[in-house]
Amino acid sequence: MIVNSEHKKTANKNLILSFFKEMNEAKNSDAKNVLETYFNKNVNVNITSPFEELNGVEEFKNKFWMPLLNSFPDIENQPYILVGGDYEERSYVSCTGNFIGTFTKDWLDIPANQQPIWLRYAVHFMLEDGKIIKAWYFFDMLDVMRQAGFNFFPNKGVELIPPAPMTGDGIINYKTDSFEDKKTMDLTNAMLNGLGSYDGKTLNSMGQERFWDVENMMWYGPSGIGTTRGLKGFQKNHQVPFITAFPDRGITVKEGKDYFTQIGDGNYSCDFGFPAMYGTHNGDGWLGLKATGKKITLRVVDYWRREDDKLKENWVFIDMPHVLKQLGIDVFALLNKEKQRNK
Amino acid sequence: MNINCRNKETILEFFKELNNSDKDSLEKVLSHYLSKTSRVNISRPFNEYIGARKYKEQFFEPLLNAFPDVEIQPYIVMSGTSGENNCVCVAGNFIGTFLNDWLTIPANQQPTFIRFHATFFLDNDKIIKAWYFLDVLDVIRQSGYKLFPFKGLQQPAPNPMPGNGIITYPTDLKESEISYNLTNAMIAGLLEYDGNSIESMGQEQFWDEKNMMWYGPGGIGTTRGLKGFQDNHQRPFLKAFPDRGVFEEDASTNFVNIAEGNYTCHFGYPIMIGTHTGDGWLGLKASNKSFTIRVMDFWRREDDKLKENWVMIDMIDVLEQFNIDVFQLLKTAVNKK
Repeated sequence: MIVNSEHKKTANKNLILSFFKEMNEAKNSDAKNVLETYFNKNVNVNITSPFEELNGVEEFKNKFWMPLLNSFPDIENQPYILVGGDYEERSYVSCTGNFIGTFTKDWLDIPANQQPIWLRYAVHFMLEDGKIIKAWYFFDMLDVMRQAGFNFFPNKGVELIPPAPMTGDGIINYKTDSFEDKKTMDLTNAMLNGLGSYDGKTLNSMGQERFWDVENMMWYGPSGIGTTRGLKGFQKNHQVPFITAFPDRGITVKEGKDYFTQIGDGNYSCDFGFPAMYGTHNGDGWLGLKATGKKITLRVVDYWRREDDKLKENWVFIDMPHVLKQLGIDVFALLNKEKQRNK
Repeated sequence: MNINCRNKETILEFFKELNNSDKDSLEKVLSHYLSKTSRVNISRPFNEYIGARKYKEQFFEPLLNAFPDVEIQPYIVMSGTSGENNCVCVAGNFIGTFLNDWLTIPANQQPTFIRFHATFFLDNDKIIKAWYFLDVLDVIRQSGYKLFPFKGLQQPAPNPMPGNGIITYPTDLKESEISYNLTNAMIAGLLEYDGNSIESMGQEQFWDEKNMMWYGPGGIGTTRGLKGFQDNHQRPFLKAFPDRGVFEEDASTNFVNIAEGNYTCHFGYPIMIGTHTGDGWLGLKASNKSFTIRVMDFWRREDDKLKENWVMIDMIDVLEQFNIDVFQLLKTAVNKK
């Protein structure tokens, strides 16, 4: 049984890597063929704002791939973490990295700047019998806007394109030890449980120093929040503003939902939910905003890298335009207003 | 174990011990890895330091003071024999939180990536000579000051796409030779420049034309594709320095030209010479000054083309030769804020 699931995990990962490779080499006219090779015809694809839900290969191609290839004709997918595994008897491969391309034509109303762009992404594939039957894509849309020259929110962390894992071993196409897989997942869940122990007052109630490389941890957040270093940097530049804004934040119900997964693979782990969290916007400051009192959900995916018995690196995606929309802020409207002003 | 593998292990151990050391244990680590008469050259505003103590006092102590949590994170570590000398060449970052001013650059209390390239020459497991390039202009940018208009994209250069730049695995000599020949054919192409047309260099023979990435130093920046490279680096550079040429390389420790697996490294301190007779580069007017350039390049080959190129130039040294003092410019900018 274990042998079978190991075998399936490897086959699924190879399938995804081969999809990426073929897509990188495909001409626009071949895109549909490549997609049909790897995706179930009726695939259900969810993409972070402004895309939302797409159904079937045809719609996925027309609404997502064609505009992307049109705006970034030399685009290539360069993943740096790829993990796989089963969760509640469903099979997943999860991946993060960048689409890298020259921004030659406007995309989603974002003005092209004729420069190389790192379109940071995370994607979660659910597979059955050698085909992708469901997929969830995260894009760091605010970061594309930043790279194109638009900054809408004062960020506390550093705005940069997060780097690949320091150790260069994030694409797990090598054999891992199931003991190490579990160790990583257990450490991640102990850390998440710590977050859940927040008493509403003190950071210390979460006991995070037990789980992280306190001095050197790197937290690569989405644009608008940015990158932080060290537990202190993480607390000051992300955690405090976030829990001040959403003091009741919690985890959505996950049992039996295919849009929720956890994977531990070697030194890497992944926790994904679409949505994964909820909260009420009851405090000021986060992203420079005043409290709106609105209830929201958050789509989140996290990847962690463990080094010895501590978490060292954390790549984090939040569908920021989706959160902002629930707070009554339309980022694309802000963008269009700014474009008018620059004219 | 062959000498080159052993030297790479020594350098990786050296980094690891440095990362685990503090102000008090630093000198012990340095004395252990450096020979007594070691010479360490660091790009401007640093100089040459002889012996571990000077290296510690002039380089590491101010660095640790400004970035107390600093750690070395290499993404390329390769080795070879250049001339009669065994060397290890490294690209990576010093990553740390910028807590106190460094080299008069104002601390911004944020994580900072100090990009570096370094060459270490070893003899009997000791470093006898080291050369460092630090992207100080990019640190100035990260702290919030833009001193020159740039053509390429400004960001710390990424790790190699396949993640295999730290070569602790066996490589095939044949592959190393292919990488070496391709890189040197490309460099020979650059020298074919006829003074007019960019085509005279025939660079499309050597690069992944569509997807090549060129990660230049702060002030020039990152470019993509052969066209992006030509528009945003090569043309402005050739216009400013139309007579640029290279020094004849000798077997000394001032030069490196090595290959290992899919990676190559070429280095000279200095390697190029030119006269500044054209306008535009970095927004500058021609100064008509003759100058030399310190450069260290890494390339990654994919199949039969070069795909990624990490380039460090001692920009502050170049600018000094034009009588431009970057730190004076910074001071003016800081006072204005």
